[in-house]
Amino acid sequence: MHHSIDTPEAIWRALDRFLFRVRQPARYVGGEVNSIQKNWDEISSRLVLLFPDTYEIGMSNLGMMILYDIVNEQANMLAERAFLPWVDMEAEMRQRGIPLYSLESFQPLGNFDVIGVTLPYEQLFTNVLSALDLAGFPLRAADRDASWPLVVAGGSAGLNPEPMHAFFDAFFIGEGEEGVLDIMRSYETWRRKFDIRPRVGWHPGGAQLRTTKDILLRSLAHIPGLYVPALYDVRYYADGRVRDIRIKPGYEKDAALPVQKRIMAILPPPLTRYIVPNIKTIHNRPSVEIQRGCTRGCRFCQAGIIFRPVRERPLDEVLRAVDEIIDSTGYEEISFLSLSASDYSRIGELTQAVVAKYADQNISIALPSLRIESFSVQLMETLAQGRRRSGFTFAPEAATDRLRDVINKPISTEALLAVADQVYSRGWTTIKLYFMIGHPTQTMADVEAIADLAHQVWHVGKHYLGHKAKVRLTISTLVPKPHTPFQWVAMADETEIRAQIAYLQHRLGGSAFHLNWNDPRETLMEAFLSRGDRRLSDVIQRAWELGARFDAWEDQFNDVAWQQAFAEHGLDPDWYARRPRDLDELLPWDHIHVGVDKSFLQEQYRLALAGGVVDDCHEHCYSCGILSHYRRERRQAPDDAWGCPALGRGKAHQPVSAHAVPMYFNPEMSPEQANTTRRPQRLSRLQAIGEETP
Amino acid sequence: MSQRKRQRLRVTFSTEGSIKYVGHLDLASVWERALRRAGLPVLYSQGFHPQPKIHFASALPVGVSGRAELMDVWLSPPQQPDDVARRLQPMLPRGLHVRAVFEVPLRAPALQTQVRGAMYRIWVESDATATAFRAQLEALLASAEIFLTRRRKKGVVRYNLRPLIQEVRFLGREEDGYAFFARLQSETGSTGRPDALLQALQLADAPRRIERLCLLGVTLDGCEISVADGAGADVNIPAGECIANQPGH
Repeated sequence: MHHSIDTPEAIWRALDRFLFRVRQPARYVGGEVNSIQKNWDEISSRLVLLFPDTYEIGMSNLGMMILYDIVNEQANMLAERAFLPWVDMEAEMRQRGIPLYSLESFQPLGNFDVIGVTLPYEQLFTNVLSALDLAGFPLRAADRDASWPLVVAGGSAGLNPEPMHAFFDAFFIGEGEEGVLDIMRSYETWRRKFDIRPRVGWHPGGAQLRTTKDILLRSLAHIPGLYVPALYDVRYYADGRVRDIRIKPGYEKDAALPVQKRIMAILPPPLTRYIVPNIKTIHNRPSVEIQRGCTRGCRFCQAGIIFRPVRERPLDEVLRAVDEIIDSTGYEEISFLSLSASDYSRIGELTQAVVAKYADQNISIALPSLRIESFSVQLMETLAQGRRRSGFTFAPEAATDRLRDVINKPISTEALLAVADQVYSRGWTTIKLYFMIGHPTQTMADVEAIADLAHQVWHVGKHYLGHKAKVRLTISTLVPKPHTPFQWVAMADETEIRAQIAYLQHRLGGSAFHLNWNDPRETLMEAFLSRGDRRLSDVIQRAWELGARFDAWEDQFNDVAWQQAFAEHGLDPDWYARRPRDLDELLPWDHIHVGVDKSFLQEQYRLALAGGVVDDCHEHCYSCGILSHYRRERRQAPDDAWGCPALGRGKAHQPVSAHAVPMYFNPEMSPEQANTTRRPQRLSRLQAIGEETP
Repeated sequence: MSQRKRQRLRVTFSTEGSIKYVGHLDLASVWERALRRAGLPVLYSQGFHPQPKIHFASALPVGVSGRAELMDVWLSPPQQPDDVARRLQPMLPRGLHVRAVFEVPLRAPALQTQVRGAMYRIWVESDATATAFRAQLEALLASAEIFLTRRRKKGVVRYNLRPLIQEVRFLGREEDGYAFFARLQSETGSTGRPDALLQALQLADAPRRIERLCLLGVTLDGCEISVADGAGADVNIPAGECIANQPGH
């Protein structure tokens, strides 16, 4: 695509002619408080952070904002933002030849050095192609020589990079706070050496620019955590399974195998200069990350594995951040971010301190991801402070004690009902419950139990509130994700999923209940995109050509395009989503190491099938691999900053075992081992928060 | 609630550039956050959902800039109006400017109820001849009724735009289009919108620049016309009819 509109002035002039008639035009013009526009001509190293969905969604992504802040802190670098326009805007831009541009300088993406694409979930894959195309770039990395900006992905969905390998020059694996600067510096060194500056319209072609690009990729591969797919070869067996993944001959000294996730030993200071959007966004509030990682070990949960190790932010740092954020943004609400807020060791002090300081300033505090325990009710009570109490959210994920033991989220139905009692009795009218169907070993009885439990919870509410009591349920289907103990499991059969959802609809039809569920076809897409291999790049591109985009938006999801794309390439989505893998099969993502060993995941998988429940690893280290792979980082951090035991003589603060030792086995799953229960090794934390131990 | 002393301040502000694309409700949040960043003690309503006490005279349509928009904000304890302006300005996003701040009596009538009309300067792209364009404007004024439809939450509403047009005056050719002034009624429930005017001219999708020069309505003591900075000097707004404020700067 050739763009005649390729300067900031021309882009703004062109936009101002039609923006009045697109939906929510303010999202296309920037100009927000705390956004940073540096002098374009004076800054040598230029990054644009691209979120491949709308502004409202992308502006809620903390990772992207952290990188924006870090890069703009550097005197010789700038970072700007770009988002994918909604379909009406995209059509206008294409019709007028307006390329995708950044919100700060209105520069076309083709004028930047590096495009950093945030990929938190797989449904954004086709949007990446839309963005590259709208920017005027060739889609395939192999078709972009050194005259094109470098296109790098980062985020959870890049931890199985293979389905998107053809489109990105590199994937950053892990936490990018330092890595982003490494990439920018490495690029700048190369750029100066070869006197190259990507810009719109300058693409002379020729072998020289291809060779120069190869030199760049080679140097980038030396950055820890950076995966450059072009430097690897994958071979397959005739049946489609991966046979081997090797570094290409000649690149052995440059590329790593496996590529190990990069982590920060100590959490960098929290972001406080939040951009304040001029319009409502999805998470319309800033957040302070109080803790990274989770020690719970739920076996379906990818975040619980890939964000290991657990690192806590010191309380005083969190409180200082709250002050700075409110000062610099003026937001009326702030939220504390973590995978499991209840596990933040100073959560009680934190909530009391912020309420004491801000309650009378009309600033409210959101605390997502609370555990199902009475302490959570106390926390919410503190935060509510006489305001309206609407909803209370819990995620039991399964409705029977047995299945919760399988997924290693042990909480008894009895305890859950006791917490529901506390919630409704204090005046909250709605309890929101998250369940998953399709867990391994699930039977129809487990699905029936979801409806039974919902009714039980509602009856608790009815006792206090009559028919004002409500139960909202969100039912999702397990997508067995890479790097989890369930990565070998087949996703549930579609007719089964539909039957189970239909059953729940039937049982939970009354006005007391509100039931949400995911379209099984969309879940299938998430499954094949997250579990795919390199051959899926062709399928993704074809599906995009056939019109698939904004796949995360129910009203845009294009199942027909995906089916046709698979068929044209002779591949089967179910083969990717619903084929159980052998434990010794080489998985397409096995060359990406997230710090947790495959042997640990295998052991957890075996324990799942045996109903073996493993304690929070904050209590007892089961050698998942993090400590052996990040010894240096562990030593850099204070003893109490990580959930993992400190290294060194006389520092064993918690027991360590080479193998996971279950606290108990579920009697239904392993009757022969049902009596071998073992108390958790350290009770102090549990007792401190007043919880009953299992 | 404490019986601390309260104060009602009238803020005149202008919008310029891309901020015109921010809708009215969002713009209210922008102000609320700016006031908090400035550390100004805005009064909040009581109840389950305390809301800051900020009232706007009239919603600015998306895509329209305003030269002299008005809002009232209640503070407690009272502040120096000049000081409020000085503290607020650096906290505003690009394109939003405080033009004046002055105190009004706590019991003054609600701003919204005082607005009667608004004066717009409209430029719209058109390849018609000047004579033809002018004739179109005159035809508009000459017609007894102009029925348009408007999408509302409860479906499509048909309404007559003509009684809402108080005055239209042709200014001349500019760039690839024409400029004209329009004075439209603006009262609760019967507000003429400039985009409706363009719709009536069959120019609904044409590139345009619309500026609301000032709001017209009931006079406050000491109030003067705000269109004092040149661009609108040829508009004849009856003195004392504009609720704006003190002169802009």
